[in-house]
Order: sequence, then structure tokens, then C-alpha cells
Amino acid sequence: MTTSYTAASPFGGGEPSAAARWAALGLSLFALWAFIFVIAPGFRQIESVNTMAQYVEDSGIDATALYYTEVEETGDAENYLRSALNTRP
Amino acid sequence: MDSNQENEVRGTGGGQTDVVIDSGKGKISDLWKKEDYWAIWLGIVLIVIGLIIYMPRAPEGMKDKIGKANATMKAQSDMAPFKTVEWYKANDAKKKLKATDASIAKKIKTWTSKPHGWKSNPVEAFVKSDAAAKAKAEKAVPKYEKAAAAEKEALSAAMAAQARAQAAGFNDEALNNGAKDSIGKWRSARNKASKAKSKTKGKGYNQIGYLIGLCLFMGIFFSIGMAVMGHSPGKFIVGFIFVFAFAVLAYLFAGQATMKQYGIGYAAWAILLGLIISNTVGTPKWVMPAVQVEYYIKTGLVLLGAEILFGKILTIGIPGIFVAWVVTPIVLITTYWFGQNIIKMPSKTLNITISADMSVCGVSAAIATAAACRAKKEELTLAVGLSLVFTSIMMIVMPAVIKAVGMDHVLGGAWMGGTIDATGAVAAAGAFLSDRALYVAATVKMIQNVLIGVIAFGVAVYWCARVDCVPGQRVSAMEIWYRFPKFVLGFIGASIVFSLIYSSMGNDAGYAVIDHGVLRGWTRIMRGWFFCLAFVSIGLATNFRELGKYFKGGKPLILYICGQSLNLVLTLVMAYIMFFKVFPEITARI
Repeated sequence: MTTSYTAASPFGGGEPSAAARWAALGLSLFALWAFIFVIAPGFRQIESVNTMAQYVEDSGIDATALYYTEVEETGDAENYLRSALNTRP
Repeated sequence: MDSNQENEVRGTGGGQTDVVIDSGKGKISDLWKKEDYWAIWLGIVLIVIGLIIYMPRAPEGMKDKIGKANATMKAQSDMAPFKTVEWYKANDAKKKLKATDASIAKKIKTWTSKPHGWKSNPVEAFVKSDAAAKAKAEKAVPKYEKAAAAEKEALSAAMAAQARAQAAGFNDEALNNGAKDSIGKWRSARNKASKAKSKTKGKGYNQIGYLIGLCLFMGIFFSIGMAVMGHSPGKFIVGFIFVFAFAVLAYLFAGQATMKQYGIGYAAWAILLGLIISNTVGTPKWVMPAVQVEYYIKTGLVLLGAEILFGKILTIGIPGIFVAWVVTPIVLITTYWFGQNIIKMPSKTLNITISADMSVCGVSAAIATAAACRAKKEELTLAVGLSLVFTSIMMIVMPAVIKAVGMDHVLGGAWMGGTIDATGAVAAAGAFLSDRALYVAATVKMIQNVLIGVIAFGVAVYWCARVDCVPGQRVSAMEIWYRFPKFVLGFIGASIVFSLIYSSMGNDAGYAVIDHGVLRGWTRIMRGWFFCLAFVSIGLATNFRELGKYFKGGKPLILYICGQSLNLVLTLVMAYIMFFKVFPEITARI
């Protein structure tokens, strides 16, 4: 199967060699690894970041969720508020 | 009948169609030849499957249990001036009723599950032996036992305090407040015990076979539409395997423990991984037939429509409407105006996508708005990136500020719910403060989520009638119809139908069968995969240099910061007025 490139070189100038492209891929993957296992955990040196990160881990809340149906806690909140506002105290 | 959409490429996009301009003619064959309609048909098929699965599977004795719980809650609220232990127990019993507890729902979850969470060994995301799972679960047992004992103790204290208040006929304010505090402590201990218990259940898994099955199902599912639209289904499926594999990788990265803590989800990883491939070794040519950004997004949006339940906007009464449905459109329109007239944003579609993503609810609003105004994929990428960065920051900073200034948690919850973009981050930030903050924050955000339907429809109409036309040109209703992105009809239609079904069932039954059945047990899972496939496709078809052009002068960043600043001020002011000046009795009940 042939390999093509979706757009002009992101590196600027002429088309980079295959070796340069694979090296760029390797470098990008290394950067991802460094971000996940070195840089991001490093932010936990900041107290407020560490506190919140620890809380998210302990509570099991999915902080990455995009919409209310992806978060279990929205169901609990809705259920509680409906009951609380429909009854007197 | 419908528009004859002639694809025109506006700007560069690596061979991917960027913008579709309608030519103002319609043919009956558009119904099976156009991607917008296929998104509707595929979405409807999945929605009908969901209804067939879950509607006959209401939890056993649901009506009786709801009736009993509601009667208990009413009796308790008539008796005591605070929420009693029995009130909470009845509410918990009602909350447990979920159609997703049916055995078929568990099978669906197994077959459609994304990779599991992991910390340092990515293999654990796919395979875990029973022994390893059991060992991990056993480690959590002591913590659970401690939490369970604390809950038991807190419950005894709460019951005793409640009995003292009851003995005084609930007329002694000090005893009433003491009981209320004790009950609050019990609820908090109960939540902790419940979370701890969930970690004591360990079962091994091997997700690989299921993921292969899901890949084949989705590949064949989408290839049907591709075949009828005149593309090679074989070539599509071959390319789809690659795109799906990267969607799995995106979920894998999003499931890493540290990334979960920071709220960096699959959307960011899908785009990033796609970008890395396309901008280093290049996206293989054989993959391109499956790089169908709009096809996946539009189908996902039709499914998202079912999750837009208009009945939910009244959950927290009028204050919630004002915070989520009055402030948000004001911020959206003002930010868009500011972008056009003050910052002079070069692209209207980028402007409205960022404005919607910042003011409504982040990535999901960005997807819906970008599709409605036919924004370029680079513009959606930029809006999503901005949202994810600011969501992570605000999730950490806002609870810290609220705590530092001693702000009431109802006000703080409403403030965070109205301003932090992503729903998961809102829930985490709210729960970090207290249950009250969580309930208000999550509910305000949920009400704001529902606004997506109205915003997407409004943007689609405005773009057809005012933006995509020659200045000064008056566009006829027919022409607006021709130009209108038809998938929006599926999106809105699904929302209306599900809102009607939900309200006809009543909130409690709707919660158990629709919300915690058809939606959370089926459509939202498929929708998540479709959006992930779309984001991978965006990355695979995007060039870094093209992306850089849109960021020139930092205008998108300036727009986001200015808009978010306005959002923070207006939301806080509105929440204060509504919850503390106009409707303090609602605040007192929360």
C-alpha cells in the first residue's frame, strides 16, 4: 500500500525525507510520553492542583466528560433537586 | 424537496471538503445521496434500537416504588422542617431505579466499552486477569470497611439527633439545626462509603475481542451509507479500521490516571494523535476514504439531539433558567459581536464556534455550532483546544477562589455551572466544595447543555439567511430551506421526540427508563465513539501550518478570554440576584 501526505509539509520549505518524518514521529511520541509521565504529574507540585487531582481520583468523577449524560453525578443532582424543591423544607 | 449540495472547497483542507455551499436546487434522490440525510437515517436507526431495547425494560415495580418513595418524602416533609433520614432513604430508593441495571444493558456496556482506566501499564486498559482485578479490589477493602463503619456511626448520630428534634415537636430551632447538620454529615459519610465500595468489586476483562467486534459493527454500519452515496464500502472499511484504532488510542490516553485527573479527555487526544500522524509520516492514502469528519459528527449530533430534553430546564426553577438560558445567549451574542467589531476576527465561523464553545458548554457546543455554520475543521480544532485548556485551569482555580472568599456554595455552584465549559469538570469542581455546590453546579450545566439545541438551530438559520449570502441580498424562505444543513432537522427532531416521551412518562419514570436507559445505556455510548472518530479524522486531515494561520495574532485567545471574563461577571451577578435576592426560598431548600 502506498503512503501519501495529506497536505504540504508542516515543516516548511521542501518535502522532508522519510527519515526526517519518522524521526519527527518518534520525537512526537516521546513528547507525549514525557507529558503524560513527567510534565503533567509535575504540576502536582502545586498544592491546589494536587488537591484537586487527588480529589478527582478518589471521588471517581469523570472530569473528562463532555455532556451531562456522561456524568453520573448530574443524575443524582437532578434527582435530589427535583425532590428537594417539590417538597416543603 | 431538498438542497442539491454542491461541494466547494473554501480554503485548504488537505483534500477534505471544508465548506458546503448549496446551489438552491433539491432532488428526491438527496434523501439517499446526501451525507446530511444519511446522518439522520443512521441516527434514527440507532435511536429506534435503543427504544426497542429499553422501553419494555422498566425496572420491576417501578411505578409502585416511585409512588411509595414520593409518598414517604411528602409525609416526611410535612412532618419536619428539614430533610429527614427517611426522606433521604426514600430518595435514594427512587434514584436506584434504572433501566441500565437490566442484564442486556450490562451486555451492551461490555460490547461497546472504551478501554479501561490505567496508571502506568497501558495493557491494563485492555486486559486484566481475574486474579489481578481481585488483588486490586482486595486492597480497597480496608478503606471501604473504614468508610462503612464511619457511615454507620454517622447514621446513628443522625437518627439520634433527629429523634431529639422530633421529641421537641420540631419546635426547637437549635435541635432542628443540630439534626440537619448530623444528617448532612451522614450523607457525606454515605457518599464516601459508596465510592469506596465501588472499588472493592474486581472482575477481570479482555476488551480486545469486543473492540474488534465494535470496529466491524461500526465499519459496516457507516459503510452502508457510503455505498449508497456512491463510495466503495470495501475501501471505506479498510480505512475505517485505521481510524477506529486511533479512536481506541485516544480513549486509551484519556483513560490514563493523570490525564483523567486533569480532565484531558478523548477529544484532545483524538485530534492530537491524528495531527501527529498526518504531520509526520503522513496519513496513508488508503485511510482517506474513512476520514469522514462530517459524516461521523452529524450522525453523532442526531444522537446528541435525543439527549437534549427540554423538560430538564425547570429542574432548579426560574433561577436556573436565568443563569443558564438568559446569561448564556447574552454572552454568546456579545462575544460574537465583540469578535466581529472590536477584535475583527477574520472568520465568522471561527468567531461563532469559539463564542458558543466558551459560553455554552465547551466541546459539545463547539461541535454542534461548527456543524450548523459549516465551520472548517481547523476552526473546530482551535475552539476545542481553547476550551480544554481553560476547562482544566478553571476546574482547579474556581473552587479554590470560592473557598478562599467564603462564597456560599449554592452561589459558587451556580457560578461554576454557568462558566466552566465541560460538564465533567463542573461536577468535579462542584463536588470538591460540597454536595450543595455539586447539585447546583451540575444542574445549571445540564440546563445549559440543553441550550445547545436552540443555539445550533439558531446559528444554522442565521447562517443561511444572513451570513452565507451577498451583503444586502434578501434570502427567500425557500432558499433558506435549500441551504439549511438538513442533519439539524434530525438533531432537533430527536430532541423534540425524546422531550415529549420524557415528559409524557413523568420525571421519575423518564429518569429511570429514558435518561438511565435509552440515553445513558445506548445513544450516548455510540455518540461518544462517533465524535471520537470525527476528531481522529480531523487530526488526520489537518496540517499544522494551516492550523497556525487561524491563530494569527492570538485573536482566538483574546476572544475566548474576553468572552469568558464577561461570562464570569454576568453569571456571578445573575446567580447572586436570582438565588439570594429574588428566590431565596429556593436556595434555602437546596
